[in-house]
Amino acid sequence: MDDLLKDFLAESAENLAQLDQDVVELERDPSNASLLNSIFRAIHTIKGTCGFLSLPRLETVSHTAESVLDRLRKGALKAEPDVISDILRAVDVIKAILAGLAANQTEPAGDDSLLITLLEQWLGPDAPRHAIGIGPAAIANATPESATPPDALPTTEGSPALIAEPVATAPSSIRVSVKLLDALMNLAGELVLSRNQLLEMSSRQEDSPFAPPVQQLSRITAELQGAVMKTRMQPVGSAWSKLPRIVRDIARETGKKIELDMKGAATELDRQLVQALQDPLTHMVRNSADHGIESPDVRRAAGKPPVGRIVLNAYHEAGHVIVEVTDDGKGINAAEMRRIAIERGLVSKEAAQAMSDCQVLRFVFEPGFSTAASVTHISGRGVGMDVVRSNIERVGGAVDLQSVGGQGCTIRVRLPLTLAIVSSLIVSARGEMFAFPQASVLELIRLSDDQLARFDVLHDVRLFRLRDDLVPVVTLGDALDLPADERGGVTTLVICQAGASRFGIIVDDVVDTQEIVVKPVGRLIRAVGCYAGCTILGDGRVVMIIDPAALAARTGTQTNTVAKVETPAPVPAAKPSDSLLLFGVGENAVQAVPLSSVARLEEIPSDSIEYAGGQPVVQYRGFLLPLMLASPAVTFTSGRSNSVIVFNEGTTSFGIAVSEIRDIVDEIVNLELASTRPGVLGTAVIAGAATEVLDVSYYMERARRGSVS
Amino acid sequence: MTAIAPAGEVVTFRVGDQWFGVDVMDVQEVIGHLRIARVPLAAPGIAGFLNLRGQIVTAIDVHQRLEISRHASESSMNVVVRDGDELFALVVDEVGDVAAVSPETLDPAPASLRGAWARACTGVVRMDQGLLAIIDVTRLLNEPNTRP
Repeated sequence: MDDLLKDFLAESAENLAQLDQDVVELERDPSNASLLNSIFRAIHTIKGTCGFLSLPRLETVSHTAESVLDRLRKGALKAEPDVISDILRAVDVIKAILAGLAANQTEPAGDDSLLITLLEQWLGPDAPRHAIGIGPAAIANATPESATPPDALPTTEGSPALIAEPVATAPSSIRVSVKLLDALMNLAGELVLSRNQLLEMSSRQEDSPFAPPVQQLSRITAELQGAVMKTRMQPVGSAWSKLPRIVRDIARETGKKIELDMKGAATELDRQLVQALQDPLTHMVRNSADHGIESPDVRRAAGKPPVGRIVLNAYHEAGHVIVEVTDDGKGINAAEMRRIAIERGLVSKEAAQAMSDCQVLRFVFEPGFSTAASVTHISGRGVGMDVVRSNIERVGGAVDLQSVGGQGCTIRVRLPLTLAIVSSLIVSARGEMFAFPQASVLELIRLSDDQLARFDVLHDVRLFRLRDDLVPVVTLGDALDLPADERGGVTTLVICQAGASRFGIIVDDVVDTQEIVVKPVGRLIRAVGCYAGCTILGDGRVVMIIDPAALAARTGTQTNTVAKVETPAPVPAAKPSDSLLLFGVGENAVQAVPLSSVARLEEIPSDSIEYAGGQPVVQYRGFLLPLMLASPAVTFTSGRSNSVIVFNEGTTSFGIAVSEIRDIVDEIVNLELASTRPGVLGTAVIAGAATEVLDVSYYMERARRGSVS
Repeated sequence: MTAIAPAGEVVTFRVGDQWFGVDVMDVQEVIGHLRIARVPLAAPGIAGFLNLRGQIVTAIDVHQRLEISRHASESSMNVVVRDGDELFALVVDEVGDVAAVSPETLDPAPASLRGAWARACTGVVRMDQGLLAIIDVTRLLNEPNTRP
């Protein structure tokens, strides 16, 4: 059965059970406004949803009943028994239709014109009849046997035409308070811990008579725990089920062609989180469909396929669930955003100019910010991205947005998994144990002492050469201010992934991998910020779970400071607020290059530099890397290694030799002096010093010409 | 004196040489020494976490919170208190009886108290053995986490 229909039936069954009682109660207490409101709401909900599901019969009945209730509510009509009977009749018909729906998934055939007539007599003389779509065809097709004359009015107990069999809506699911589920979760967690202790004890004794029952207990405990977990977990897809419909409706209404692609619908997360996600997600998808995707003509003109795509993607990452909404629509124009932000006084003109596009785009999450030129009735109902953000943040999540004007937009929602059982890596650092969420650990590398001593250092950041990457490294003990202890031997480098960045954390040893129950940390500890929670190990010991992303942020180890080789970086000129790599040329001069264009930093011994046609080259990963000098002031000194910045674009790679690598800074570059020589874009003040900005494209061109000849 | 329930009973405990009382209604239980897992980077006054039958409880180092010097080789006890939805363990040196506090024996906290004492102490009870400082649990827990 359609999920949407299933939800609707479950919801309606609950509503209807209460409805009967309420209507009867109303007869006894006609002035009870809250009762009347609750009845009205129940019918209204049914009416609202069936428009969605296109159930014309149900819609007509519930709409007419609602109109009568509305008059009651407004005091235009008194809650007399006759009215109540007719409303009850309507409720019965609604039940019958719902029962038919549950059985056959289609609305059962039948004629309600009599009931409608009955209800409409309460609407007063000037009320619009058949306010919504009971078409003439429906009336014409009325089967003769159900067209009972009005004087033979069926009583509520009577006529088979109006009354359904007593509907067996015995619920197959019940509502349980989340508090009770939490208690169950905790108990199951404790049971697991006791089980672990028992297992440990029985494994110490050979031929223990307890071994078989303990095994059995262990198995059942695991199953119990799994089942209890499942009571709280829901596939994220259940928050999506209404989206295809919404997208289709918007597409139809706006004349767009939109394809909705949903990936990772089976990704499970806590039920509360699924619920919290539903409204924001609906809003984001609506936004994408309504404002993001262009009409087919516009898309064609822009050289895009006429059918727009919205992709929903959910997956686990580093102990979090990520839900992304991506569209290939018109995206958000950062310049436009900047203008509006200044116009609305959210930011000063100077500050706005200084902000990166990324920062500017985040203004969509500010209250009262909407870029929609026209507010359509589909979106723009006063619920903006600010509400999306606050809803997500309320459950401890985060939301971010990326967009390239003309190419689309990606909204990324990151949700925590606090209640989940996660598999984790237990490590030790300076005598203390910590857990890493397994999902955020990419790999483990054993380091010997001399490897430990041989980290590359860039500024204050230690870097580890992981194949084609430079990965910043922190020592867990240092990051957590643990008292130092002297120990030698091997250590382990845990390579973690958090968001788009990678980094290494040095720990003393890896102790174990375990499934752990994540327990939230108390409010006094939450302020520390680098823990994702804590857990209790099998021996009863409490261990903190490290949140690698937060730890990296705390130590400033963000890897957007390190470029990768696998993705051939384009070689852009210095743009505002780039990360810049500063390097010395000659004695005192400093030059800068956008870090995003740098592929690698290498130290190349002078001995390995060869000359081919007067051009210095070095054998580098099986090919010849041409070397150029950043300035005539740079020289290769024999017997020493030389700092070389490696650039790579497509098949062209080249190195630029510099005197020394100095620093990486995030700075806005304002070229103040035009270039005086080729290879330099101009001069800017960076980190308080006059700095020449390297023109990478000049060298790239030279390297290309070199490789052709 | 909001720190004491109408019944006027306090659980007494000793930290250093000083006896304290907390409202019996705030106390869930008293337990013996438990292993405390230190939490790196936690504010001073937070001893760490302990595992109370599978529940994580934040342990408060009352010595440090109230700036009372520690006698070496003293074994500790835990007074488990509830504040809001959360459990906390006050790590103390010794736990005494539940004492009834009558209004006649209860004096307001001396105005000359300073620092954490001034914030957490809500009254003083004259006992035969000495003075019993009545402590408001919530205020003790919410003591600003200043690094020394």
